[in-house]
Amino acid sequence: MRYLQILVNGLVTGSIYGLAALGFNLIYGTTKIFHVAYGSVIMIALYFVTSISLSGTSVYWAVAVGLACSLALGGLVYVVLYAPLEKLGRNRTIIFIAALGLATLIEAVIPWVYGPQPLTFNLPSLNTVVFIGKIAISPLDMAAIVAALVLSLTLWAVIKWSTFGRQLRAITSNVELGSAMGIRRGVIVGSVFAVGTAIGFIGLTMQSMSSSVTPVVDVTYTLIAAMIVLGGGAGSLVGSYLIALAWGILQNGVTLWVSADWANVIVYLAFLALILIRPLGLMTSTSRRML
Amino acid sequence: MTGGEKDVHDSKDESPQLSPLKKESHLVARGLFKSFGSLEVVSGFHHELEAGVVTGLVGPNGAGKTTIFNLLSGALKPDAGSVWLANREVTGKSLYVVSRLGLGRSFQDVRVFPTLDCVDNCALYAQTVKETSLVRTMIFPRATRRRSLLARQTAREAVAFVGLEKVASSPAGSLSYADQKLLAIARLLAIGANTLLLDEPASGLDRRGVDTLVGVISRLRDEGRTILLIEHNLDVVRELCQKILFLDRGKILAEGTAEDVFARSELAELYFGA
Amino acid sequence: MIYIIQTIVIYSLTYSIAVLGLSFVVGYAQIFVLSQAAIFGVGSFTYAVLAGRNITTDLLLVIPIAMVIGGAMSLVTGLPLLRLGGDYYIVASLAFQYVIVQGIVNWTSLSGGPPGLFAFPSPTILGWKITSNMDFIYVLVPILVLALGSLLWVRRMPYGRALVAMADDEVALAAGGVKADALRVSVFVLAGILAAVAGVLFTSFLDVASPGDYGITESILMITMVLVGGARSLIGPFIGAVILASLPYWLNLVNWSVYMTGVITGVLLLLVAFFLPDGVAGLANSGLRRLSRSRSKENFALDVQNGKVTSDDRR
Repeated sequence: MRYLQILVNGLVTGSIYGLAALGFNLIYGTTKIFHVAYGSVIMIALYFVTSISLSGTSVYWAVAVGLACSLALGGLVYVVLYAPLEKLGRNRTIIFIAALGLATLIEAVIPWVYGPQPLTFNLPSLNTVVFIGKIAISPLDMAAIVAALVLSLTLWAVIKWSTFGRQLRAITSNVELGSAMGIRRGVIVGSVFAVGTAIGFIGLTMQSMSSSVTPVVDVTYTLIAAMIVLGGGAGSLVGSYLIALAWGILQNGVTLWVSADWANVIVYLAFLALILIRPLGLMTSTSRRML
Repeated sequence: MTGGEKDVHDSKDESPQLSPLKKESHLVARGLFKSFGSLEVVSGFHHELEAGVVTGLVGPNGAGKTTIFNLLSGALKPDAGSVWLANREVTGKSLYVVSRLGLGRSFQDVRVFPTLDCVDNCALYAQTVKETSLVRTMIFPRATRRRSLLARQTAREAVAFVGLEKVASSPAGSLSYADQKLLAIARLLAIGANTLLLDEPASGLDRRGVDTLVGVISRLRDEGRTILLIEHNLDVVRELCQKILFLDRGKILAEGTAEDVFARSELAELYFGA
Repeated sequence: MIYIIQTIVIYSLTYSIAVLGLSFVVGYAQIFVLSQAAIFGVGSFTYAVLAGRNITTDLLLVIPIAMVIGGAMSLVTGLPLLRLGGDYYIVASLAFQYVIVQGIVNWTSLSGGPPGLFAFPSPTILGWKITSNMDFIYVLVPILVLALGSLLWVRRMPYGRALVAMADDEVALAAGGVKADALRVSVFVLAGILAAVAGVLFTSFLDVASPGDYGITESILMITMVLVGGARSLIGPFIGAVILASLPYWLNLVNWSVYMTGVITGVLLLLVAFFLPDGVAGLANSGLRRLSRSRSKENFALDVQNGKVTSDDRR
């Protein structure tokens, strides 16, 4: 039964990472921009939410505000940071440097404003463990699994069948077409950033609801999201979802059988091994289309 | 890179690093095939290039000419077939390996190193693996310095051969297009390439540039080097090439002198028409 | 007061050594290395372990040992990863950064766990004990000069020529008979060696080896030093190191929050990206427009297939 529990725990963790990766993948797969400030921007929204909820507002309301916040901030980052740099003709490395600068800046400002101590965002009701058969699971856990699955499928469907999705795929596969579309492209890309950030926000919120929030989660969050996306095959929704689940399961397994300290190390090493064996990730589509 | 020590005592009329040239053909391609996806770009390219001869590779756009260059020089691996350089098989070997063995390749988009000056551009090509190695540089500083000076000497000769002495110390990025093209050829001399693959060396050049170029290539040919030339400028082709290969869709349709080949109306049609 | 200035000087010089090698890698090999702090930490712990366990405190022994270990670690991490391009490399180097440091932390018998090790015997050179700040500076300056001199000299040699050429055009470099992969690995190892040396000096002076000092933040700090100064110069990063390494002390003097270091680092990176992509030293070198392309092997193959090396019009 332990194995099943690990599997379930792994699915939960994996689902949360899956959300992180989903948001990052949306952005990266479409624009090829390595949004290294991903986690930091999300963290702003999260801290904002946490501080609101601590002052008494209903948690659900706070989360809704946070969601709106992350949408806005996501789009804002594109408009204020990436778009001008693209216009200036800076190459990818420089754009990355700018994003890194932003991330570093945010990571310094947040503890300055909120203090370095962890904030707890705990909801006892969501975290009470329920038993389904012999498996312990909490409402939050279930919500995570559902959220990851639903959002992945929804996004997949939107990209495949909607007008927006068609335009998105057009921009992805044909850069010249994209730049020819002018403002239109800006709007689409901005929305992509907004939605991607919002999805990531959901993931991080869920993660912090079961543990606490510290000002340094952003880097790890972004890093894990990036690893999962690249490991799964950049742009591939299926790939990153699978890798995310595998990640979660592996992490939980190692925590149980070895120790928590080594869990991350081993999972990261597994990622490195994967990348070396399949340099372009698990599911590679040479045309780099979404899906 | 060609294996032997550089000879500094060349006379001014000879180009640097001329290793003994063999009488028989230098570069041989046997049955080369290459497809990109479902498109077969090179279909059974088979030819022996002769030394002391400029062979022209002509054909309409999309015929696969540059792809053949890539296959011969190691920038691409053929799906089938083999490439032999001076009786050694080099099929599938990388570009840097093949370059060290004496095959020089120029690019249609020139590709000089803009930051380095002319002499350094050539010196880079002239220097061997030994002095480029970091380990050796640190352990044998004096020997490395000696070799570096030798490379620069070779480089200066190469620069002089193509007539670029006046701009020798300018960064290559500041050179005119024509001069950059000449520099590209000088580099190939510096590396001691006896077999040269020149990709559209005359494109974009004015009358004077073309004349200089033709002069340089003729001298190289007369020294006994093996030269394969992709060129769209038919005047240049007629003037330089003793032999022409007409390529279409990856296959050699015709071989012969320029007059012979272009006399055939169906080829002229293919080339100019449609 | 003098004590503070001496400390600032020592911090700056130590970081400079680590950063010099990094500037070579970032500027010429154009690899965005985010794992330098980990190798720095490896050097630190080399001293911590050797001195702390009373095996030796002689810098003439510890430094070479650290160079070997640091170089080996760089080789191991560099060889496989440098084949990957761009983003994959960045992520991989961050992953390695984490793995190395966490690995050290987990190896508690060696590293003492998360708090790290401290209170080591003073470093010595052939019996001479280095105790005062000035003594340390007398040791540090020649080492820095040696490192700087070696790099300047190497840059004028064929190796350096190949580096500049690699940064300009890898395909043309290959046509010149030089293997870019090997070149990249060698610069990377060089940077690692220098980082390890700096680590030894850092810990022998500071008396602490705390894993928290060798994380991603520090790697970012090092990169910032390089970028602000200008990745292709050596003087530039030196200035960058001096400014940024001493920053916490200036902040202290002015009574600003320690978080300002992060803020300033972030702002500097943004400024560099928006206004000074070539760094401060780049201002002096302006006039040469360089083509900037991503230098991965993936792109080389794509170059060949998609038209940069092919002239035929297949559109």
